[in-house]
Amino acid sequence: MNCWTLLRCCLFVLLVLQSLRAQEWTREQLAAQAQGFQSESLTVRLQQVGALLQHKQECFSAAVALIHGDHREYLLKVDRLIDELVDERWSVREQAERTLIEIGGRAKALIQQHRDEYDYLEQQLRCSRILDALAAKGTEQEDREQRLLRGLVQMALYLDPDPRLLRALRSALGHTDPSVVEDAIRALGRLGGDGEVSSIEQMVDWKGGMHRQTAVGALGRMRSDKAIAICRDLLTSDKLTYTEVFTVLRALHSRSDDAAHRLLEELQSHADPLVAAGARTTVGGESATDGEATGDDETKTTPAKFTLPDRSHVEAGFGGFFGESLLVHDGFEGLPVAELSFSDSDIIDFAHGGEPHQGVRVFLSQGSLTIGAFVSIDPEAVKIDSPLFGQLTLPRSEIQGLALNPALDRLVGASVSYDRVRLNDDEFVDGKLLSGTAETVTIELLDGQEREIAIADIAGILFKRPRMTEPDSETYTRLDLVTGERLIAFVTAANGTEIALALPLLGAAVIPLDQVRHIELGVGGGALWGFTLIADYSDNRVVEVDEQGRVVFVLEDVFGAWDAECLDNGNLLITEFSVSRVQELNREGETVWVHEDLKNPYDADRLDNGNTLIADTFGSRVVEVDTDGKVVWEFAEDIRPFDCDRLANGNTLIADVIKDRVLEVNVDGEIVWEVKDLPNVHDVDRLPNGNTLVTLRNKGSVLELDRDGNVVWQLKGLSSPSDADRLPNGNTIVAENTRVREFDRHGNEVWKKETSWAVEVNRY
Amino acid sequence: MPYRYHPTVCACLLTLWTALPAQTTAQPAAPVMELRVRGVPELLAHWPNTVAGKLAAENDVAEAVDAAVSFTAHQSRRLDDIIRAAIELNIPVLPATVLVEHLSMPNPWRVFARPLQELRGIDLCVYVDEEAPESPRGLVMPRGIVAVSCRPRYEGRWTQLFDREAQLLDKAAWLTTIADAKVGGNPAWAYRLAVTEGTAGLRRQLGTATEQYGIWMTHLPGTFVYGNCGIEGAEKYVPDNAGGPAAVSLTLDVPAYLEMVGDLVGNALGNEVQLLGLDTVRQFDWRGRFVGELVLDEIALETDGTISGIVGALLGIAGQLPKQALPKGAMAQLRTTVDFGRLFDLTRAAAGPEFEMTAEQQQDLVAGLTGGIAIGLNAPSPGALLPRIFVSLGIADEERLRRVLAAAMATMSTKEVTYDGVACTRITFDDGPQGLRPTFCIVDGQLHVAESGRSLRALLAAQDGQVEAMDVGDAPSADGPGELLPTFDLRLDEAALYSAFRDTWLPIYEAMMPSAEPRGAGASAYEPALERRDMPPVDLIADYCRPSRATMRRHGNRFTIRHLGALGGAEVVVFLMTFGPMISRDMNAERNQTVKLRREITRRKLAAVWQALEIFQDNRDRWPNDLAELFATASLADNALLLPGDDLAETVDLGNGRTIRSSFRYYPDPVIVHEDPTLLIEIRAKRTNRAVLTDSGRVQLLGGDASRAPIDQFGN
Repeated sequence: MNCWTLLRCCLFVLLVLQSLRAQEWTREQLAAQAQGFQSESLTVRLQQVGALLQHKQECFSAAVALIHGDHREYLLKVDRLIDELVDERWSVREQAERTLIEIGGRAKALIQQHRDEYDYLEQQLRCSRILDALAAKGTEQEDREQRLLRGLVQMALYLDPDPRLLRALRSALGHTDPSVVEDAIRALGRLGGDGEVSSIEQMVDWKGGMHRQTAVGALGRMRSDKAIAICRDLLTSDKLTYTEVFTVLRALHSRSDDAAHRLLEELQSHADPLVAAGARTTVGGESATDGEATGDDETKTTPAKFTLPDRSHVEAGFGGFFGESLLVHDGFEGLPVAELSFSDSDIIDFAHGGEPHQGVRVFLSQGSLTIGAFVSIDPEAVKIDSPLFGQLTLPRSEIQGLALNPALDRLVGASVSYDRVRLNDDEFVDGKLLSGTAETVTIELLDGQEREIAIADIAGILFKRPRMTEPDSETYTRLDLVTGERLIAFVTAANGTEIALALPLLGAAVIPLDQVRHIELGVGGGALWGFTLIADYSDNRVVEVDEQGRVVFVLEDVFGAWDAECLDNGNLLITEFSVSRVQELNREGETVWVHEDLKNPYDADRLDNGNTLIADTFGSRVVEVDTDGKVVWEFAEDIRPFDCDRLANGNTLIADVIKDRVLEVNVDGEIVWEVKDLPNVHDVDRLPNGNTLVTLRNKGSVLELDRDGNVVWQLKGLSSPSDADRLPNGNTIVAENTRVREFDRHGNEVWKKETSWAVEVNRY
Repeated sequence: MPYRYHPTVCACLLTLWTALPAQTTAQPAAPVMELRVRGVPELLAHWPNTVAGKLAAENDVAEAVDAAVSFTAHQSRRLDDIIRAAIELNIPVLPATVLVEHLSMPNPWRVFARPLQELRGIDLCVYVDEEAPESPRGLVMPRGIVAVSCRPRYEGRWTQLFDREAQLLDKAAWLTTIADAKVGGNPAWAYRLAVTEGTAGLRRQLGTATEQYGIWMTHLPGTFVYGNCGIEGAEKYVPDNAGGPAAVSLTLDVPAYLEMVGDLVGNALGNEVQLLGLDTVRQFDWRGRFVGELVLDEIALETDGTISGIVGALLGIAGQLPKQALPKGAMAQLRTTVDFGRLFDLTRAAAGPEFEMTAEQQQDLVAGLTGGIAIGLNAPSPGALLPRIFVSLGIADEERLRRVLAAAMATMSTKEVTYDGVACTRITFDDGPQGLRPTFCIVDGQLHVAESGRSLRALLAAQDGQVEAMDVGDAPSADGPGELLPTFDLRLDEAALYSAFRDTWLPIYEAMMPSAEPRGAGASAYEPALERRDMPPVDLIADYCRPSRATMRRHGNRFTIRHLGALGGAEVVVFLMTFGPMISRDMNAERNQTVKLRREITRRKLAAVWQALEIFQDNRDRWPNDLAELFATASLADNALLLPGDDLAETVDLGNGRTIRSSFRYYPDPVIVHEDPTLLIEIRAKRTNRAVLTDSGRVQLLGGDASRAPIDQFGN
């Protein structure tokens, strides 16, 4: 080769390099090509990811440059300013507020967070004011940039590891937008190595642990000995909740490397049997995905329907779980396998059918419903043979009840004082259940006598219900099986054909996906008590729905349905505001009892003594009437009661709209407790912890007040709420205009049923 | 069309509408006026058994009623759209305007736009409080309260609508929501104009009492109450809506009402009230209800024990009613007695020197007449416009009467004519309407006058000495408390009246009205709910509506006219037949505030679209090829070019499955309109104020031919 040729070659290479360089997009070009990230729709955003991945080379540098930033310093500055909003010097507070307004949209997410979860009222007020000012000022450009950044970090999950990208992602961990941080953690979990472990470890406890679950999932996924060591430390200590433990286990089960396998083997002898079961139980003998999201044609998937945050659906292949991700095959254009976070799609439905299992249905207080052959009952436990879990011995204290008659579709009427046996003719036999076999049960009646009842005569058994239950703060996955069973479980591993579970009380199981109808992620634990009764005021009807929101019972022509209670016998106590009537109806709609000497009542409760307590709203009184309609107690001192409850101590709790207060009166009509300044208070409930739950319709809020009237918890932004109940699982269910919603303690919506106008809701 | 074209029909409505804007007071007050509709379920239950109900069940009538009802519903939706747009675009509106024109319930017409079977009753009350602060123009404005009640079955649904209205108002940046408002201890929603830069103009208009020009709404059991005053003490104005007989009624506290009207028109009504004799009238009542298969229409005046003025002249004399048989085609007849002496005294006092009759002539006239008078109205002659009018007066002293008549005729152009042997005198006016040639004669102790010689001839031919009055067959008279006054006899043939209206007057009215705007879209200003061709045929009406009669009774100080007819009294009949083709046209004509609001909405929308157009033009040096290209490059809302309630808007396909509706047609090659190159032209043709956007970004409101031209004429 002569010099001339060499020169020509060099020139050619230079030209090629130059042309390649010329193909790299500028920041503006990237922004123009990534318009899909501006969409609210997850589908559009993921399709945008797919589209950009077709141009990885061109967009890489610009994307990295955009992701990289002084996010952490910025975050620290914003944090400091938010702290200064409650500085003891007024001038500092004022200055901090002004500065935050100047900073603008980038700080918005953090300010919103402090507005919603504040330590001091002034902090909340100032944050609200800042957000108003930002809204007035307009943050459109900043919002666009933030959405672009969010999309690019989401795309990083699908890129190849690169030092520049990893640096950029580490910097994104300090961003003010929590969703950017979440996606950065997930991306680093997949792409990062030893160099990123400490950054992710920091995120475990960062800001009170707000990214903790994602961070531990990422640690479980990182190909790093350091990460494995941290996981071992976390899993063998008491530092993680079960929810977090199983997040790590899912990540580890998804890996095929020795380090992960060794750790799982160690954990199989964990002192906690649930953790040990989780380490032991997996799918297909091998990891589902070998630690990578692959688009391999041979990967087995199951067709499913995924529900996205905007309630739209995607029909695609379910490929299993992967730490904190679920794999969706061929659901989004340009992305053969998409990794969705649990919050991106929390409901997965499969079109599987099958015959339900025959046998006794056991409703666990933990929330699960399992089916098996009835073996026996003793004073401590119930034994059944389960096709799924084998022979089970379940503590009675953990069981809501048993349904023996297939026609019994709901367990209603449990008592806090005694066990109840419901016969096939709907009669109740109350007492203490002593023992039972496959043929008979023996119950000690309330008068001390014993009675033996044939199993064939029994529709159901309701065990003594706890007065209150401890809130269960774990997050589970719910599975509805074609067998009719409902499992509230921890998922240890899942691939495209099977799902492995570990369940408190029930043990572990691997279930083929063709046995699964419905998966719901991130559900709270605790008994759901089956059914939700909703008074729909504007549609003049009362509806009962199951947990899926399916209507199972309707009572029409209830005129101004303001209250509906399900009584122990399954009948309904209905308050009809518009026709001034309270009546007990059976399920055929026949009137069993009626009281009409009222003026537009809002609420009625059946008391333990058989009497009925009524908020006779426009009669300006609360009355207790006996079965003959005779008033046996009354409180009528300048009130307009929208709600009333008889408390365990015999006092009566009243929501009084005329004086904007809730008050507790004793049997002599003396006010023994009162909280004022509660405008348009529609509902009041005394909670097991002694606090009081009040519903303020005009304010759109539900407040939990302590005995001094301080707000210790609240829900805001509700649509004309009229009723709220604290459920045994610690969640709160609220009747609103156009819907009923259930919220967890963090205010996350966990269940919803659309209605015309729900004014009262009861779950049992 | 202004209301003066049919004052009788619309006076009541006008009063209600003008009375609604109100101001607060601290003192409770009895209502000055109450319009009540009670017992709607009972009325509806009775309805199929009535003649009116059976008539309404006929296909032709049912279709006309449906058309009128859907028209009203359409109006409601249109007004809803306007207020939504005002809220969305942050255009301030007076709270009272919101209440009267935009909320679904306070406006009585809007109530009727909802299924009638849901309604239980309506109370519309007007109160006046002398201690209320004055507006900048020095007026003490009345306050209006509307209570609408529904049947229990529908209360929930109504409450939801009520709640939505409140939620909508909560979004209005120009309204301040009064926190935790209450009316009588019940939660209420209360608003007043927000103190912002945007509302400065409206606040100046309201003056110092701005805060009290609020509106409030509250839900009581079965009832929804709206008020346009400050929330403080509002419970004093919540009407008792408990029940009462199934009827429609209007009650006026006459002294208070006259005082209120006097204030509203800027000066007290003094002489006129005394002249009319209303100063001694305490109360006016009107009530309509079903009796058997007919409608009983009652009009009552209650005096303070004395009667005066013209009212006194009409009520205060006994006498014999003149005989007046009417020719075929009679529509109505009133026979009564008049105290002519008192009447002329009053007229003389009111007219002063302009009263041309001498005292002697007046004495002769009064002495010459008995006081009995009969006034008859027949359908116009074929080809004529005016009804045939007949007046017959009883003569007490023919000689003195002739003397007066001779003196009067001396100053007029007259002609002596003879009809069928009877000498008659015909008067002609040089500038009078064609067909008006009053002619009179004296026959058999009565003075007969008709609007033309031909009519007088027909009248004379009808007098056979046997028939005393208009033939109404066996029309029943209404019973009631009190003494029957023989000096009053009113007769009506509803079918004949309808025939004249439908076949003579309505065609002329329609020919006179502007018709440049396309009909059928339902949203054009001045478009009536019904046209003549939609009105039921005369024969059908005649099959159900028989002639009827009214009587008057006196019970203490209360004089009551009771009319028992298929549809009620004359005023109800007139209202029913004119509502579709005439009154609805005025309802459709937007009130000034709404017109202004609509214009402002149009301007704002076009201004926003102009920004997008300008950017496009700057970037590409051309206008977009079509709206799809504009919307693809600009962040414009789907309703950016859609005007409220515009059902003529065109659907535009933007591609990618996105469609929008546009009230404007876009011209990428600007068309010349009034010498300006124009990019967007409002599709709807209008008499005036058709909006266009020029290529220099100017929003223009067109008038003349360009405003009326069909949209397809542009750009060709």
